[in-house]
Amino acid sequence: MAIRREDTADCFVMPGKMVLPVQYFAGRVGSKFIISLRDDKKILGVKCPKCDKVYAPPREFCEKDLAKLDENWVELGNEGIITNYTIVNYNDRHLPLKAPYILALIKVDGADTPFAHIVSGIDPDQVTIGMRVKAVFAEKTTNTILDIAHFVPVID
Amino acid sequence: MAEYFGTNAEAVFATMPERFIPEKVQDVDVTIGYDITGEGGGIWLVAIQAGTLKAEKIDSELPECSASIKTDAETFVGGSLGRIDLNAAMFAGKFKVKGDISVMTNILPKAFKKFSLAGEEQAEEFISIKAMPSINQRFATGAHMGQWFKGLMNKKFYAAKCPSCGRIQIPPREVCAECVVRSDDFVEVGPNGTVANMDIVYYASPDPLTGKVRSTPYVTLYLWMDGTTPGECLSFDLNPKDTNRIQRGMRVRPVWNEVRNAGIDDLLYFEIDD
Amino acid sequence: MAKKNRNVAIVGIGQTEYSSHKEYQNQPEMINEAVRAALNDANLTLDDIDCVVHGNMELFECVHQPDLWHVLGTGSYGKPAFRITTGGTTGATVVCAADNLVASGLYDVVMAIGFEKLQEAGSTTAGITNMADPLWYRHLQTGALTSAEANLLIDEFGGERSRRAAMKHRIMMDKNAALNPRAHRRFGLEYEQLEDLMNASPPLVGELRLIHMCSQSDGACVMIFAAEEKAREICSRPVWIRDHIAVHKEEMVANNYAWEKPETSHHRAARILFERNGITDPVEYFDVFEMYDPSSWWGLDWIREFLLLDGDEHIKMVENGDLNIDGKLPLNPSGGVTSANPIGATAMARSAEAALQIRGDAGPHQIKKEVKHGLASGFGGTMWTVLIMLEKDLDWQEVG
Repeated sequence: MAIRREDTADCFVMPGKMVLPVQYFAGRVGSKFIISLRDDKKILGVKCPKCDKVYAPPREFCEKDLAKLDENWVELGNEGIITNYTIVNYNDRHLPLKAPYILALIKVDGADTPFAHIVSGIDPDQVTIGMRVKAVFAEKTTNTILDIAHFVPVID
Repeated sequence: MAEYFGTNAEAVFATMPERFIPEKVQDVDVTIGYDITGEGGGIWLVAIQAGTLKAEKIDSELPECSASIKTDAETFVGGSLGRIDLNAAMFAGKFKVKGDISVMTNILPKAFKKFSLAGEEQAEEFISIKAMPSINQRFATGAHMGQWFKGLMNKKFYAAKCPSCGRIQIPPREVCAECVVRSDDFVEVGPNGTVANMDIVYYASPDPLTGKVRSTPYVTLYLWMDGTTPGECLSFDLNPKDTNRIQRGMRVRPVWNEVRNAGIDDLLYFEIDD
Repeated sequence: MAKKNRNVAIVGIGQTEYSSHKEYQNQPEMINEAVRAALNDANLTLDDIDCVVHGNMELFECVHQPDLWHVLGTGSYGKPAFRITTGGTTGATVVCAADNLVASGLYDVVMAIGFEKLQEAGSTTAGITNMADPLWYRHLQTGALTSAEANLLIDEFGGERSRRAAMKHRIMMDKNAALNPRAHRRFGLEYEQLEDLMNASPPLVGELRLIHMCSQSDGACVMIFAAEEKAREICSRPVWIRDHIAVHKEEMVANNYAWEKPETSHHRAARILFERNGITDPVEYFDVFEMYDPSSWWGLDWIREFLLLDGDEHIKMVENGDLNIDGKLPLNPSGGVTSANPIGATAMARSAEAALQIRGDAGPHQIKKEVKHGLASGFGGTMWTVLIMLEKDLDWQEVG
């Protein structure tokens, strides 16, 4: 009996699964950031002594010049601006909300780098780059970035 | 009393009542004996019963306990403070546990707040998250492995024969990588085989297909299937009923699933061919 | 030997301590610690680095493309960077890639990074099992835990002698680790405990006991490679890469335990590498061998495979103490893989430790006599091998 690769009569598709337990550590710097969100409802960043850049979320070293940053903590504002955004229009089990919702890059006051978060309290078609938003902190904390529940537009 | 790391063994036991968390051990009934050798050592008996604690130094030998620990005072104090890695001490034979080891690993950490030096700062809080990613997948067999699974469905083992060197690959592969030629010829082999090598697995690891821990012991066989070349082998599970009898060199036969759908489950296991 | 456009030297080495837990650092922070140590060791800054090669073993931490996120710590911001992931061999493959990138003339100075944070992996054994062929072997494999090699050794040399030799190997590694401040596991084992450990250590699989098996460690290793001209300019004690070889065998893992044992990838790698470099007696030639020994049973067997020994010569070498740190050919003066196994860094740490021995900078576990010729191995996948030859002097004879 000979089987060529063209003989597709008896090809099957086998279901598979991959399940692995994992645990991630935020590290000393990341922990301070999360604990501050959780306990003090304050957003912290770090300032590079060499290039003056203010990073939020904080990191231990400046990725450009390797300067040590974790002794230069700065308290940032709970408000900021949307530097860019996307509308999530599909549902999947790993997503934090039901579609549609706004996922935006938000640069909080005092920071030079934006981070991604959810914007609520506004229709997805109303969001604009440059819009001012403020953080709403979670009532039930989870030791994650979702200790900020989401951002909402600042109404003048 | 001999001091280690600024404290002593006596203090570890003396602070137990204030470190005890009764609500965590309401349904626990254990006794733990401590035979602590060297200067500052002694014999202590700790009983945890339905949320109550009794910890006392005794003058006699240890009675029968749920778990009994034998170690020297320095290792005991260092381990209690977290300054000595008790796992390492256990490997090195400096910290011995007799009886139910889960008392050490599961019950004690629940029952007591950590022992620390007076005035020592609380441990730093480090944030972590645990996750169990679960991803569904689909794998295509292709023609060669397709033939293999079709064979299983019909209670047959099909292997691929290299037209150049003649070796018989099982499960079949599309090429013989030694000769770098296609292996398109199939031959039926088995169904019985000889145990070339085997692993008796005692270590319970999570099954990556389900995340559930496998029950042990189980045996993995490396088989020289009848009609194949002796440098090739098929790996499969042994019927658990034969775990205590199996020996290398023994003859085994396949046991098939009643319901077969061209998958690995078509074959249940191999068992000793008496 | 393999054709090279130009010679390549190791000019900087940085390692974190290896340990069971580093909850005070995230992944890029841990890597950064080793990056800074290597730059410091080479007396270079990030500006001097032309290219970064990054690697670890997929699946353990379940983070895909970590090289992107890790720019925070690797220093590859704005630079060409590659990711390599070849299972257990990753660290050694990263070394080979850096060697190739410099030897080819593409880059003058290349930084190579290997890391793993196994505290973050819930189960190393489940992770390794997931590497197996999903159609067949994923259902059957138990990670890298096996007793099959031990069974073969016992066939050949008897239970008592084999078990004693494997445990002596383990204690020898622990004694070396005791000298190495970066080693993860330092139990303080003594040869008098040999019989006790043979019976008391919990069995994992068949003859393989917990004490025989490698650790699950956190840590990062970083090495900096430079072309000959640059190396002479910036480094007073460059260590030269003479040659490297990678051998991937096509078999299923199981075929290594077939009725007739095939030539292993280790033996094939050593045979070809030594032949093309004119090494006829590796035991005589090399002054240090840093072997990727995932367990003491494999470690014991692989002495014969790598050093192309016959019969019971490898067991005799263990019995006679020839592989001790003060012996004829010191094996793993660092303590080896049973003492520290941050998997993506492990195979690189073998080359790094051999190079430190050649430089005379190993620290408390420095071999006392002069080290001129080093051998370092990597292991992974379905029995893959990387073998690397390091030299103190650029004075070897070309063969063929």
